[in-house]
Amino acid sequence: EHACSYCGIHNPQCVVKCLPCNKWFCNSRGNTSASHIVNHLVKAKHKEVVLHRDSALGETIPECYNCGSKNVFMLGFIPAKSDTVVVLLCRQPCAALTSSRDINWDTSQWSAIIDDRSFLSWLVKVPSEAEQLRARQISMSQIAKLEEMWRENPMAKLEDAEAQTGEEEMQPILLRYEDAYQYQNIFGPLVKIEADYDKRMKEAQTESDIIVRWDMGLNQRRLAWFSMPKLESGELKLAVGDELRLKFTGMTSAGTGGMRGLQALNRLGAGHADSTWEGVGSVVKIPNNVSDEICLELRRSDNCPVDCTHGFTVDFVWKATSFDRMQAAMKTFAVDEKSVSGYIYHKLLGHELEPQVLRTQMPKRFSAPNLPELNHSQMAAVKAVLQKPLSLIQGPPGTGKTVTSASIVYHLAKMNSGQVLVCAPSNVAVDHLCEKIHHTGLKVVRLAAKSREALDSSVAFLSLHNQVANADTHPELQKLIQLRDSMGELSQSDERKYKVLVRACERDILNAADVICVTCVGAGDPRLAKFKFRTVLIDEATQSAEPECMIPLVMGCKQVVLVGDHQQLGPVIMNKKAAKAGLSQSLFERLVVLGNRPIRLQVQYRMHPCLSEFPSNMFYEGTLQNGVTAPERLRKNVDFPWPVPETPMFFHQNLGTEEISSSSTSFLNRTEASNVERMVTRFFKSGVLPSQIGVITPYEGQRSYIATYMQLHGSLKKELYKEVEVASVDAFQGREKDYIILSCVRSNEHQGIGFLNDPRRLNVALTRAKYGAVILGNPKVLSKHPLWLYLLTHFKEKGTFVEGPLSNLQPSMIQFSRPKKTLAA
Amino acid sequence: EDVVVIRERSTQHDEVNEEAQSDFDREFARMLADTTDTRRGERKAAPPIFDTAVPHIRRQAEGATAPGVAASGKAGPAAVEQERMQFSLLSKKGNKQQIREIAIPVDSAIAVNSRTHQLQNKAEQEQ
Ligand SMILES: [Zn+2]
Ligand SMILES: [Zn+2]
Ligand SMILES: [Zn+2]
Repeated sequence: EHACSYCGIHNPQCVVKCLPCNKWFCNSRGNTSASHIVNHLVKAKHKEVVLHRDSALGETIPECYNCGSKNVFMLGFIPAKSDTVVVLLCRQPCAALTSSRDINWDTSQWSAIIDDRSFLSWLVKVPSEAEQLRARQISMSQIAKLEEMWRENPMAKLEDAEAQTGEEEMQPILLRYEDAYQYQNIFGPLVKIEADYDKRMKEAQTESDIIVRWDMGLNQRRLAWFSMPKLESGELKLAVGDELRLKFTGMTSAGTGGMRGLQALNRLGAGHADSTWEGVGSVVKIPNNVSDEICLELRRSDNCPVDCTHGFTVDFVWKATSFDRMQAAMKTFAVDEKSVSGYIYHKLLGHELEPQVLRTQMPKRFSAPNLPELNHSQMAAVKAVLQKPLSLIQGPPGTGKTVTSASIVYHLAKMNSGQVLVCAPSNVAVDHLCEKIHHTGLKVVRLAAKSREALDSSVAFLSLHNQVANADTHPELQKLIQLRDSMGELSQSDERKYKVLVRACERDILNAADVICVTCVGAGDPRLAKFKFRTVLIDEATQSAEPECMIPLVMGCKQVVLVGDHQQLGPVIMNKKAAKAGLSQSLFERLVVLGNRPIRLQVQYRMHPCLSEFPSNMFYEGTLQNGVTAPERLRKNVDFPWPVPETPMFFHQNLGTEEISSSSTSFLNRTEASNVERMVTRFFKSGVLPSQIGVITPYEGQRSYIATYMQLHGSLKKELYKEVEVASVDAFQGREKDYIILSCVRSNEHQGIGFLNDPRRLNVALTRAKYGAVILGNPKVLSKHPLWLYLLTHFKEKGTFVEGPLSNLQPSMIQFSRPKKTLAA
Repeated sequence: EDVVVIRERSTQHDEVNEEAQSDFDREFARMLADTTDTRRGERKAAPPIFDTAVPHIRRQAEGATAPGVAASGKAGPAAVEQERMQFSLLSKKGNKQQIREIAIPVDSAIAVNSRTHQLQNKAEQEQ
């Protein structure tokens, strides 16, 4: 019998047998994104198949002509240059592009046998509509269940899967909580499963066959440079400051390929008797436009096998710190009555309360020294929060959120005794705000994790460890520091003395500060353990999960200001169960739902009015006012072919197909990439500087392809292209560029548009540009999504929906698709 | 099939499927990138460049079957619903080369490219 194990279709021309498990599957999609055979291969992680004897090729196992690889995900046809002969080859290495002209085969024409997630229809027929209608209907989740059961019992049937319903669900978050114990009981398990997931993900990221390039840092520390191809999958986000373990075994998985490693290993000789070495270091550089390499600064510089280049393995050193601190904060919240004021306690739990006013002297003027004058809505925001124990400020893009926050912090510090604790989820945001607050003349300390101390930042001089190093209050400490610097290390007793002095000095500096700036997680730093913070401001509060926000709050908070924008990107939760249960909702959002109205900053100073119109209407009820005029945002000397000159934006129709980038698990679209290059080149020619252009693309595969493509094909100086920032939407959040090019990439009929269907991500992408924006994408695919349909219609109405070469842009005549679902408010 | 949901109340069932879908997307991508095969090239000192000679194939007049392909040339009634172009597939049986005729739809990538190529060559020769 050769009936499809999912749906029962048994037309011999439509089925394929999976080799490892001997089951048959058909080549129809049913209502899933991939054909049944592809669904099965992916779910079961099987890769080899046998075609049916009645198929076009008869009963054969597709394999690479050159190397014999039978992995169908790697196989494709290439034609001979001169004749209608084709051959099956694997994508890597056999069909890898060669530039040689005299080869008989055209590897550039390689085309996969699995295309758009099904087998080529002429290889395995797609069952007719009628056949499909008669067949058993099986959904994506039923397939997943069935496959899971097959792992234990290969004979299991779909009926069995049906019977076995509902696995343990996580208890979802609530809007209101009876008490802090209930709060902890619900959030605790969610943080736990997120931590477990994070650990599993990161520890599974071991990569072998890493090739290392050794270097020496300015601080005399060993640096190891290497690439990690798996990083491209986007499942693991590597950040500066993360720790990696680099191991040397001299072995590569191909054995002989490691010759260079092996020879070097022998040279290591004594001291490396066990023939291996490992070292931990922190990441100081992550892949960017200039290079795809990671740079790891090793903790110990001695004994590194610097002669060896091949045969290294890298894995992630997972640290529980942030999760532990969240759990600890929730525990403190539950057990320690003094962790927050009574009012804040009830507010956080969602209890009804009479409004409270704090009795403090209001300042005479609301702008802070050395910061820009506040506008009307910013001033209103500052005024509103100073006497309220809990306030929310919503800052849409370009509305001067940071200046407003810094002004608030200035007044809070002047009005109250004790230090103000200023937090944000990310280091970048903390640094940014820290710098602004410093301008007001307040005494600011930036406390960073130890692993980040060596990293350069604009506020390095404000960091606690630098202030310690430069402190003149402890002469003995200075002497020891000098001694250590000249000798390299200290004697044991001096070392002990040094540590005590550092601690004392740190305490003095922190005590003398007006403001302490730290990430939310960093607020749990042991160096702050004894401190109480009555006043807390959390910036980008909509980007952190609720338990993360609790860390700075449970340190004695009586007054809190949360600043953010719940219409922009929210917290990143990796575990889908935890996200579904509500961990991806920020505290800010829950407080909004509870009826705490955020004060909205309403004047945006970033975008040309034509660029702010759509986001304002779609995401801010049309309330966003323009603090800049169209003439102020028009560069007369920049001669760029905007279809409507006074409306510097357009949507450029790209029908190129999407593919999976060759070395990665990410998507790429070559047509769009080459069009991005053309746009960039045109911007250069009209006098725009590289640093003024940002290219946003949701996929890592596209990011690295665009960067490389511009290097290889850009018609102007290579250096120029290197300076153009190409990054993800997430990387651009909180930032701006004069000109933005957005490459949407996804361009297939069956798989949706991935990242781009999140309205908040779209909002962020659309609101980065000051002077002009270009969107490249496939309108046919995008318009299936209600939000994009609105956007495309908007561009069309403005006469800025175009196609064709830049030198001759024409209105596109393409018909939009109709979304299947409507946009609910 | 359609994965978008814009803050819309969807049924439990849809949500489960949506989750299964995004799981699948990730797993699919991982299969395509599986390094056990993709990086074989890097391990070999110099990956062999594939450059087998193209066997010379004499095709007879349209309609007639090429010699030696009678068995695989099963063009059943189902196979003719689309216009097709005849190609020869070079494969191996054990260590022996084997040639089989296959009919590829004229609008598939291979067929389109091959025709473009032929036209180009012809144009070049005529110059
Ligand atoms: Zn199988
Ligand atoms: Zn089926
Ligand atoms: Zn091969």
